[in-house]
Amino acid sequence: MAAAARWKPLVPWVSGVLLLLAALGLQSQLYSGQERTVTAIFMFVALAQAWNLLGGYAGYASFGQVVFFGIGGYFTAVAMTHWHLSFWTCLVLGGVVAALFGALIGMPLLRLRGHYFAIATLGVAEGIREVVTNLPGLTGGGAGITLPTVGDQATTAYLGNDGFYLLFLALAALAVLVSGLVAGSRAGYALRAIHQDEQAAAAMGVNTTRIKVLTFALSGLITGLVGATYAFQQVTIFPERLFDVDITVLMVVMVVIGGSGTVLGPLVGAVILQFLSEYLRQNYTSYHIFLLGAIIIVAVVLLPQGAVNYLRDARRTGEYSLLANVRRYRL
Amino acid sequence: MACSLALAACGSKGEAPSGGSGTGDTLAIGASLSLTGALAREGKLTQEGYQLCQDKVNAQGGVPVGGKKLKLAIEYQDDTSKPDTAAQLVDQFNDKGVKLILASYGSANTEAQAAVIERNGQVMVDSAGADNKIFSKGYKRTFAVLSPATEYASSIVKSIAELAQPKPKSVVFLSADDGFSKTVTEGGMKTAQEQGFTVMSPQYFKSGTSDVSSSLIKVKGQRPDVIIGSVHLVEGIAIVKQAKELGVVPAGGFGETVAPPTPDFAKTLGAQAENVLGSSQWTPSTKGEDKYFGNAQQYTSDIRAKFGHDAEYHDAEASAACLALTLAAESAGSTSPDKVRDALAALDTASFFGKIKFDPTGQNVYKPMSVIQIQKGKAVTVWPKDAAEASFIWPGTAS
Repeated sequence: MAAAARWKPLVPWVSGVLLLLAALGLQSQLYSGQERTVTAIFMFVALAQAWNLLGGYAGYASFGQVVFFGIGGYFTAVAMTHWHLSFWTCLVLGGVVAALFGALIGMPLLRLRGHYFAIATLGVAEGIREVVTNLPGLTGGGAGITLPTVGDQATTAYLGNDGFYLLFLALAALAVLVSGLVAGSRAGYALRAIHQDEQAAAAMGVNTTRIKVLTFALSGLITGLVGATYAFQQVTIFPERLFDVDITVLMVVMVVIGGSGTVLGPLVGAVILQFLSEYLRQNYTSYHIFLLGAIIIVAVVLLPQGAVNYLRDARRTGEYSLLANVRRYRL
Repeated sequence: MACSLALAACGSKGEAPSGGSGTGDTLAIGASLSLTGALAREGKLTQEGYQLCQDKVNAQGGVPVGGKKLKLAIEYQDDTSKPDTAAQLVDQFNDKGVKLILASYGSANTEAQAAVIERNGQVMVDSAGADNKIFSKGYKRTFAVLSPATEYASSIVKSIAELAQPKPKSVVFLSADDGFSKTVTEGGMKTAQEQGFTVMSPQYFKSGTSDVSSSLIKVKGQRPDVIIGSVHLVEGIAIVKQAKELGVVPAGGFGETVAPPTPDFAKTLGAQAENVLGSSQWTPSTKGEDKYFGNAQQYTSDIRAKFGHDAEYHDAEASAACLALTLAAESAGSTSPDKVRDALAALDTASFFGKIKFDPTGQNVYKPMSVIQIQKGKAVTVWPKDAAEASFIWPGTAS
């Protein structure tokens, strides 16, 4: 018994490493097209984890999260095209720029709560997209910008499907790791306290503004790294796609379906949703979006706390009935 | 040697199922379409065009390839109007061994697909990606049946230079700022300069906007004889409407690229649409015929019978892309992507869509675009002269 208790904290680490090894092993089994599909899953795992840091733990739902994705991507595109930096330099700088931007807008915006915060972040994302669209000299404007990946202008060789698989996997692993570290740290407790009652948290000595701004910046850092990698993968990028509100919505839906405020939730949500949407699109060409929408509605009604939280509750109470679950959350 | 090359090409990846194209009695073709999202309307028309092609070819028992008649089997997938998904679908078709691809709608999607096609050794016929940018990258496996973007406004300029009496002196371009529209504008300005017009500096506005008043106010003082819009439907309607409101009346008239041929243009603007010029990849009076579709007139009635609306050029360019791929497989006598590619490069044929022949970059620069004019609420072909249904009315703003 004592031995089991001693080993218990290692379980998440061991399973994490096993998952990572499994993902690495999977690569050689996939066709090129499947590899790309799985790469997209990794990308959304990283994005959902990043959103969860503030949206899940602290309950601050950012509906403009895609702005960091776009900034990371456009920074990379502009720096590679105009300043001839290597992709790896751009990747790091793109993440840092997105993080700094997060800190900058976080300072005023994180004083807002609930819907007001959500709307303000949405406005920021739309605004930055307009700025990017209206700087054609730098960003190519609405015509898009093509990253140099071939010929003399290329600063870094294109990574190909294999390379991007590994890179997005690394980003997903990084995001899960960060989320795990935050969850178990003092900062994680502070964020959850803010979620429960921000005034009480402040009264207990939590510097709420500081922790929120830092978390927002951290979330921006990861999202920016993903955006930078995405831009390099796509080669030609357009403002509409890089600042597409759909991407934010997907992050939110994935976190909610998986279980917000947990480490495992966004991972599970991203894998399930991305896999499902891909499956439906391939098999139900003309009404896949309708089906996906219906499934999301049913999932949210039956499992309002998300799959991971439901399983945790159910294991504790021995009550697996979905109806009881709906009743418990008073729907 | 061939074996080691094949191994090198496969690398450590799982072996893709081979022979997806042309197993049994079918010719497998993959089509990524924008069935949902921003381009859903055009995507639907593209699907109709591909579908009619499949029906027509299969009604004749299929396409003869190497002594066997193969039925076309087009597999459709939805790319949700997103370039990243369109590119991913091409990879997925490749996994299934489908090497012959019909492109999605629009330049952004097609551009993303072309890169993947090249890498995978597939072959793609492009039905609606007209941006010349796609063809400036040295790709060898993407062929476009449609006239390139530079022709959209150039054709209007040429028709004015040839037919307008009195000949106008100055032209200004109002352009949306997406890649395609910008290429259209650059091509049009170049032609206008060659034709001896005074070309004023172009005005750009955000693609998809319904407010172009600030651009119009800027050109008002310059008093251009002709205003040409490189636009889509929304911006095209906005230019004509707001020009009237702001009193911007060019002495010659208006020309707009793809907006006027769309039935909604004349419907929305009513009398204001009269005499506006537009350019079209195809009109029902296009010359030429082929063995599957017959001529453009027959094509129109087939679309009407099957889908219940008048044929638009989006239908026609999709059917033409499918036709080019079919004819290439026939003349190659094989479904191997390399042989079909070579046959496409050598293709030179007449069709309901006009001439189909590709230059070394894969563009169909041999097919002229048609210029139409709205006359009594209908779009009629006025240029080139040999396909004209009505005479050119000039100046277009006299009434």
